[in-house]
Amino acid sequence: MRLPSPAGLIGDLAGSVARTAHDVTLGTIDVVLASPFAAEVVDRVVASPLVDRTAQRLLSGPEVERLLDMALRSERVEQLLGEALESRLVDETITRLIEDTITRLLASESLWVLVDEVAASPAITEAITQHGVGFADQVADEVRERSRHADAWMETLARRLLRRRAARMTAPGSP
Amino acid sequence: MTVVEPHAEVVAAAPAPPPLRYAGLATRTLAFAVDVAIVNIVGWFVALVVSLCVSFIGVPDEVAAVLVALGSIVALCWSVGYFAFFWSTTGQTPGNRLMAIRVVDARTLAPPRPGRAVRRFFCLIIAALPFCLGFLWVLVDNRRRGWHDKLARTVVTDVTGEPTPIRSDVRPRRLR
Repeated sequence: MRLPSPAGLIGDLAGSVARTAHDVTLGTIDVVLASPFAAEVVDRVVASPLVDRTAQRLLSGPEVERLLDMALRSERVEQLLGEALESRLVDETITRLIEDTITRLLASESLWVLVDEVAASPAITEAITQHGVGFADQVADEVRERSRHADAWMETLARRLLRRRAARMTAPGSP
Repeated sequence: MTVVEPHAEVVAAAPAPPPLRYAGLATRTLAFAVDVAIVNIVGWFVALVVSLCVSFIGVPDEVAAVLVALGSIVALCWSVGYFAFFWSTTGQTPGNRLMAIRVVDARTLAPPRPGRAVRRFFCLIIAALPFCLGFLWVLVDNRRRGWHDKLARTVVTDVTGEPTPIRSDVRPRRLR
């Protein structure tokens, strides 16, 4: 039987010590985190101005922009966003959101008050009136144009029937 | 050296009056149809209201006959008044305005006076009597005039794109 070398014994001993220290440290952390002391420490830290200062520093510094820029340029983020947008969940959520919004809008009295106000506003009524008048003018113009064609056609026909010369349809002396 | 008259440009820049065009038979017929529709709608509506009122009151047959005769006279006056008023003020009835034509004096080219407008209305009846030959005369006349135009010395002009003038030669009546 071969005896272990001193160097091997020292190595084994160091490994055992390290494992023990690791276990003891984790156990201590678990005990501390489970204790009311840890909760108290967290409460005090959160209530202190340190958190505000840290948040302010992060928001005013270039770090957030840099992180956001990195995230936006990342293909992975783009892929994740695409998948999220194409998911059925997003479709259903948006549809439900729109339906809820429309239902609430139609049920709200203020919307109808707004509609009444808009419908009664002089600008809207004037625009509608102008549109109607414009349409009537277009129809009248068309009728006038066609009636002038009918005038000429009827006179041509009458002249052919009576074998008369073409009549002057403008006043003497006018160009 | 070229001498330029000071008012030469002003004279040259003055816009020439638009050529006088006469309205044809189809246009005039459409305008007249619109006016007849207006006259009849108003006349029948008034007649309906009056008839309803009379039926509620309940009048003897003799009185009803007198009322019918009176109604006919009122209807005739309404028709004459409608055309005579519009012809003698602007030269344009609503139908004429729609079709952009105007009745004017053949000599002065102003809207006809009330007396002439009334005469023109009754000449319309004369023109219609021989199977509307007086109206068809528009097709062969050089100035597109029917018999009623010739008898009343008026012409019907095409005023497409022109503003509507109002008689300026009628003086307001002086109050005593």
